[in-house]
Amino acid sequence: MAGFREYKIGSRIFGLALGGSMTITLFFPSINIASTASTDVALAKQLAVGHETGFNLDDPLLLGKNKPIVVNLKTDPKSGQALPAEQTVFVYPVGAPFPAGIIHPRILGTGVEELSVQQGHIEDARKDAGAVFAINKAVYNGKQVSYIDDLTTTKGWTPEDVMRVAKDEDVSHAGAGKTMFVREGCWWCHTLLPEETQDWQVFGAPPMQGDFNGESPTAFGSDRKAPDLLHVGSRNSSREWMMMHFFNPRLVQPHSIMPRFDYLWGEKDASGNKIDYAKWRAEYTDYREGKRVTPPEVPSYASNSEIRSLIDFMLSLK
Amino acid sequence: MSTKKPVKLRSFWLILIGGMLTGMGNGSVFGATLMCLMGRGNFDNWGGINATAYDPHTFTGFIDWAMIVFGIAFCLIMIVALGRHEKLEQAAA
Amino acid sequence: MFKYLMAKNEDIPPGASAVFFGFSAIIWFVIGTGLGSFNAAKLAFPDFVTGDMYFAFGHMRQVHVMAVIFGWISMAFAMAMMYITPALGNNKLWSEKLGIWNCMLWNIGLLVALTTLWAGITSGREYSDFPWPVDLYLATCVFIPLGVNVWMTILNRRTQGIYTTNWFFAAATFMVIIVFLVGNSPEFFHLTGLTEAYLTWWFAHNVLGLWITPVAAAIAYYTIPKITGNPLYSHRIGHLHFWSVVVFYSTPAAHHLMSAPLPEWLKSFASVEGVLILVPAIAFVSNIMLTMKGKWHMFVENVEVRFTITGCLMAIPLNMQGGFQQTRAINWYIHGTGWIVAHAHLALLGFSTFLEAAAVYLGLQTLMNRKLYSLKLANLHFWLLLIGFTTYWVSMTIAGLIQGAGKIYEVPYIDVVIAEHPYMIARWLGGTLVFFGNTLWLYNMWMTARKGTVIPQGRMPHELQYER
Repeated sequence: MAGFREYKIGSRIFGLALGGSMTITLFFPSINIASTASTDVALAKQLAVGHETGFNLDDPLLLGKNKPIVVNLKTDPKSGQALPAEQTVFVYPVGAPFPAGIIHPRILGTGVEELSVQQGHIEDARKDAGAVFAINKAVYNGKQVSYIDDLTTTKGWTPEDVMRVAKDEDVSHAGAGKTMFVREGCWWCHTLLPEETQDWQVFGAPPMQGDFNGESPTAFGSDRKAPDLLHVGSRNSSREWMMMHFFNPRLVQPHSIMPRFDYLWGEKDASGNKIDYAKWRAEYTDYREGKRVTPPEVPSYASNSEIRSLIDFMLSLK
Repeated sequence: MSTKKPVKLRSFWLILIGGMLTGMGNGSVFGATLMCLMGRGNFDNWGGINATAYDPHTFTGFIDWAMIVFGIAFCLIMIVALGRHEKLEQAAA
Repeated sequence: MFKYLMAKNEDIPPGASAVFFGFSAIIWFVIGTGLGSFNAAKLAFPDFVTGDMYFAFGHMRQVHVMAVIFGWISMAFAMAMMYITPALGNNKLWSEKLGIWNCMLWNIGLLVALTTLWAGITSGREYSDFPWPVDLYLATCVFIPLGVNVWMTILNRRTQGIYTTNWFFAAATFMVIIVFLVGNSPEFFHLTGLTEAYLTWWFAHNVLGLWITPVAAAIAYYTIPKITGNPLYSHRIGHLHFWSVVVFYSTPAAHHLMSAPLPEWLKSFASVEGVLILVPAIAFVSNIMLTMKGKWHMFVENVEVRFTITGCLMAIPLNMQGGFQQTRAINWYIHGTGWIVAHAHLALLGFSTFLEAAAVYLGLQTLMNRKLYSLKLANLHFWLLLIGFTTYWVSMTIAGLIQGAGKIYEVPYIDVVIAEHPYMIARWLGGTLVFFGNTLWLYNMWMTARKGTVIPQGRMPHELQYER
C-alpha cells in the first residue's frame, strides 16, 4: 500500500484548512445567531405553525396533521363570560408536538426564556395532555419583554375548553397552511424575505434577526418569480380574492403564471356537494374562448379542506 | 490535415457561439458592475453614455450593449488566437 | 449488472462499475433535462398540464434540480472516479463489487428519493430538499461507499506520487460527506430559525464549491493531457487551484443570503471570500488553456476536447459572475432574479456538464473498447447542448435584469411577469434543445456499446478514424 507517505504535511494542512473554514463559517456565526432573542414575530410564528412544517415523523406525508390551531378567543372558556378584549391563543390538541422554543426554552433568548419559564410555566406543558399558549408581556431587567404563557397551567384552560367556545370563523389553521405552503412549493416562486436593500416600499419591512427563532423550515426562497409574501396579509386580506386566485389565478389576474391550486379543494365543497372539476374546466375554457360571458363560479371550500388552511396561513402573514 | 480548410472557417460556429456566450457572460458582469456603480441615480438619469433609462418592458439600457460588445470582442480574440495557433502548429508539424 | 452483484470481485471485468455509472448518468441526464424542459413549459404556458398535484410546478421543480445534481452530475463524477482513479494509480479499482453495489443502491435510492420529493414530501430546504431518512441513506449508501472506493484505490496505487486529479477526487469525496452530514444537520437535530436558514445555504454553497466544481475541474485535468498528449502545464498551478478551493471556496456560504438578516460581519466576510473564488478559477482555466499549447487544432477536430475546452471557456464568465455578483454592490440588483438561475445553469449545465460529458464520452469508449458509434450524432449533441444552453442563459440573464429593474424601480410585479414572458418561451426552447440532444446521446452511446468498432489494445479511441 502506497499510502499517503509523501503527503503527511499536506493531509494535515488539509484538515487544518477545512476545520478552520468550518470554525469561521459554522461555529462563529452560531454564537451570534444563538444569542439573538426572539421578537414578537418569532413567538407568534412558532406558536402558530408548531414544531416543523417540512418532513417530520408526526406528519410524514405533509398533510397538515398534528398542528396547532390559532383561536381568536372572545369568551372565557372556563366561565363562559365575554373576555374584556379579544385574545389570540394557540391551541395544541392532545399529541400535537410543541415548537422548538417550548421544548428548548433556551432558543427563545435572554429575557424571553426566563419569563416564559418562570411566569409562563412553559416547562409544565405536556404534549399528551395538550396545551393552550398565549403571548403576554412582562418586565424583565427594566425592559418590557414578550413571553410565552402556558394558559393550561396558569389559568387551567384546556384545549377542549377553548375549542368548545371557539366558532369556526375565529379559528385559523395557519400551521397546517404552512405545511401546504412547503408541500406545494409556493416558496419556489414566492419568497418570504423582503430584501434589506430595495423591497421596503412594495413588499414591506425586511425581517429582523430575531424573527425566526424556533421556525423550521424558514423557506426564504431564492428565485423570486412572483411577489414576496412575508407581509401579504397586510396588503390583501380578502378571503374571496384568495379563494378565486388559488382556484385559478387567471380569474383575478389574467397575466399571472401561477399554477391552479384547485386540487386543494378536495372532493367536496362547503355544502358537501361533489366538485365537478371537469365541468368547471370545460366552462372556463368556454369563457376564455369567448363562448361565455362570465367565468364559472368558484366552489366554496369546505372548512376542513387543505385550501382553507393555506388561505389561513396567507392571511396570517401580516 | 493540410488539405483542410483553414481553422477559422472550420470553427466559424464554434467561434461565433462560444465567443458570444463567453463574452456576453463577462460583459454581463462588467455591465452590471458599471450600471450599479453609475445607476443609483434617478430613473431618468441612471448613467451610461447614450443610453436611455432602464426600461424593464423593452430591456433597453447600457448592459445589453456591454454584453454585445464583449461578445464581439471575445469572438475576435478567438479568431486571432486560433489563427495564430494554427500557424504555429502547422509550422511545428 | 445484476449478475455481478453476487459475483466474486475478481470475476467482475475491470471498468464494469464505471460503465454502469456512465449509462445511469446519461439516463438521469435525459430524465433531468426532460423535467427541466417540462417545468420551463409550465412557466411559459401556465395552463399547460394543470390542476393535478403531481404535475404542479411546485412539485416538479425540485425533482428536476435533484435529478440533474444527484443523478446526472454526481453519477458522471462517480463514473469518472471509477475510471480515472485507477488509471492514474496504475492499478485496478479497489473493489468493482462495491462499485456495482454503489451504482445499484444509488439508482434505487435516487428513484425513491425523487418519487417522495415529487409527492411533496420535502424538508422545505432548497438543495437539501430530501427528507432526512433519505439524506442518511444518500450519505451511507451513496457517498461513503464511493469515497471508500476512491480512497482505497489511491492508497493502493502503484505510482509514486498522486496526480492532481486524484488529490481532487480524494478530497472532494471526503468533503462532500462532511458537507452532506453537516448541511443536513438541521433536519437530523431539528435546528431551527436562522441557523436552519443559514445551514441550508451553507449546504447549497458547499455542495457546489467542494463537490461539483473541484471534481469537474479534476476531470479536465485528466482528459485534456490524456487526449492531447501534452503534460499538464503546471503542477504548481494545480496546487494553487487545490488549496485555494479548500480555503476560499469553503467559506462564502453566507453570500447567498446577502439581503437576509444574518450577522453583518458574516456577510462581509463571505463577500470578500467570494471574490477570492477567482483565484482557483483563474488557476484552473489558465492551467488547462496552457496545456492545450500546440494542440489547439483538437479544439476544432476532437469532440471530447471541444466539450472540455468549451466548458473551460464557460468557466471564465461563470467565475466572473460568481465572484462579483455576490458583492453588495451588485447583489442588491440581481439577488433572487433569473440572473441567478442563468448563473446556476452556467455552472451546472455549462461548465460542469461539458467537462463531464467529455469524460463520459472518453471513459465509455475506453472502457468498452469501442469507438464512438457516430461522430455526426456526437457533434449534433454538442451543438444542441451549446445552442440550447446559450439560448437558455441569454434569455434568463435578460429576464433577470428585467426582474432586477422591476425590483428597484418598484414596477408592479405583474408588469415584470408580462415583460418576462418572451424570455420564458425562449428558455423553454433552449431547455428542450438540451433535452433532445441528450436523447441522441443516449442512443449514440447505446449503439457504441453494441455496434462500435473495437479499439485495439493500447490505443486511444481518438487515434482511430471515425467510420460513420
